[in-house]
Amino acid sequence: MRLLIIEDEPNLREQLQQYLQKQGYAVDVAEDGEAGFFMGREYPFDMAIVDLGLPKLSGIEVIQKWRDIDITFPILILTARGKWEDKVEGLEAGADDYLVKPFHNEELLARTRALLRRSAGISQPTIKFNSISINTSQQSVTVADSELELTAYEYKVIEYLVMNPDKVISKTELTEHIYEQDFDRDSNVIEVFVGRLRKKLDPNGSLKPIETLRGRGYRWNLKQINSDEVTGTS
Amino acid sequence: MTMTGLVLDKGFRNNVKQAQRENLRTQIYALLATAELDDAEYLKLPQQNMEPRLNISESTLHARVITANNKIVWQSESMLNTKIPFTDNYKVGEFSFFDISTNEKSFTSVNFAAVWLTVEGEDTYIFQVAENKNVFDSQIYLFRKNLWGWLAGVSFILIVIQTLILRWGLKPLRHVAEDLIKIEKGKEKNLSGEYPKELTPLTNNLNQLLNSSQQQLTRYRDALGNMAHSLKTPIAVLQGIINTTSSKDKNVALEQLGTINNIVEYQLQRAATVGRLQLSEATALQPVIQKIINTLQKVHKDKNIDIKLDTPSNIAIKVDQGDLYELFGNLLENAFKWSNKKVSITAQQLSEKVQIIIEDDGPGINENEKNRILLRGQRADQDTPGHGLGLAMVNDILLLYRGEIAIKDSEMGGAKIVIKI
Repeated sequence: MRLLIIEDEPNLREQLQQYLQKQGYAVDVAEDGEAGFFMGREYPFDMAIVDLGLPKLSGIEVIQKWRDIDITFPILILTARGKWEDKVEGLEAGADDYLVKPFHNEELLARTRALLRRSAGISQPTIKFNSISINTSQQSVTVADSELELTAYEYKVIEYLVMNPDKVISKTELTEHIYEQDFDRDSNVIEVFVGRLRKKLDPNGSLKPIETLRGRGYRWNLKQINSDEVTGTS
Repeated sequence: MTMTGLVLDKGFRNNVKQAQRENLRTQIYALLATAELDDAEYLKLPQQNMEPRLNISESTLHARVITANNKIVWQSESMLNTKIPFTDNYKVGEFSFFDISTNEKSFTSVNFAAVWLTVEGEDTYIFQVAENKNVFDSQIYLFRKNLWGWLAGVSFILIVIQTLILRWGLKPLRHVAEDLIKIEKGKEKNLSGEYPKELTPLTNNLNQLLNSSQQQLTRYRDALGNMAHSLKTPIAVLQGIINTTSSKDKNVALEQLGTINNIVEYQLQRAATVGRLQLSEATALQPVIQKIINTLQKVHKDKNIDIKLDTPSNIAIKVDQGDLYELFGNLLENAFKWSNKKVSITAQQLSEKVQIIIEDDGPGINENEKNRILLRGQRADQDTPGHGLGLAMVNDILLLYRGEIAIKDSEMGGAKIVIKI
């Protein structure tokens, strides 16, 4: 999952970036409203964290402009102004949640995960498919109750596929959502990740969770169980 | 008007009195003219007098002539059945006037002494004339009746005219007063009516005052907002740094930072409410509640909360919009946070206040907690972050606008907050 942070305070920006990277997200940052708006418009993020008091273009304006051009990723507002009028204004502009500064990193992480899940139409932190179970809070995957050893990138791939079920995802799309913008990418790596994931998830080849569609990409093929707990997609 | 009346009354009375005295003098002269000594050198006056009133008994004019030793020389026909207590004082050649009275009547009298030379020497005769005061009084009574009658009539007309003029003259001021009430009730922002040019400096000044206090308020709030912004980001940075360290004092540092943040937050919000103008506009309740609900629905999307909203669209509360957001934002946030599936909001216009009831189907609030919430002026740093602050804010706002809060148990199962403001 790839996140965009727009925050003008350099220390806080760096802290947030490092913290969320450590939590397994690809994180791009922008230091003002204009640059942030541009990045959100040009690159495929899964979510944005936007400070309201930004130079050049305010957080509210950035959100409004994104929503005007039908950019739909969830947006979490960071605001120093804890006033309700500001919160209402932010959410009316198109944001999905708000967090008042200062905040605990754990709270930010919980909100981020909740928003990402919600936008994928998943209500519980743990997503289950037959014998495979993915815990988005702990970023762990278990197959038949035994936990798999996955690298950070392998987890990112499976999480992205699971969060976009029934959708064909090209290698480029996968790359864009698991790497940051200035990362030196090699789309062949994706094939390697997917190959390794198949072996780990489905060692005897009976489930076939990741389907390859030639020349188009991959698709997560398993149906989620406990579907009664699933809320409608946003 | 009364003074004029009194002066006229006194003037007229003096005038009538003077006229009466003049008349008495004339009577004396007339008597003197007809008096003469007879052969025996006694003073004689004809019994029938030129003045007809003297010749009629029980008339209003009486006269007599006496000697210096009180012997009656002559008296008019009108004296026959009337006893008049003439005064004895006299001076030769001078008119002496007296007010005399019997039990039933009062008179004005004059004494005049004249000396007749006789062969044997000289005799002094005192001429006395008295006139019933009734004549004088009835004239004065008539005059007074007319005078005060007219004066009362004129006064009444003047008062009516004056009232009309005042009403007409003060109409623009009344207009201003009505407009000021509208501003006070929050229906208008400034004095926008058409006023006569004499009043425009006043209304312009008032408008300037209103505008400048509005601007001051906005500046004040912006300044506070900026201050909050500039204080909180460094706190967030510090918090992040402390979080990444592994010192054993990490928790203490975080706790202290939390306290600083709570104090900053509480004092800033408090300062923002304390400086509130009393001339704030009325804010429509429904849009504010609706916006807060939309916001909370979005944030608590997973809960899929069923909202029952019954707030008539015509209800407006004379509370600053920002305060209204703060008040219901905090209350509704709690309701959403604690509810399972249902939140109900009903508003009702009472005679002077508006009653708003917020209910949820959550676990409710226990008695201790109820008391704690209702306890005013509780220090923010004693509260749990994010929870107590909101309610302390609710209390502050209600205190500022003389509102009331009651916490009850809802039939829905959770808390029932009743606000009257």
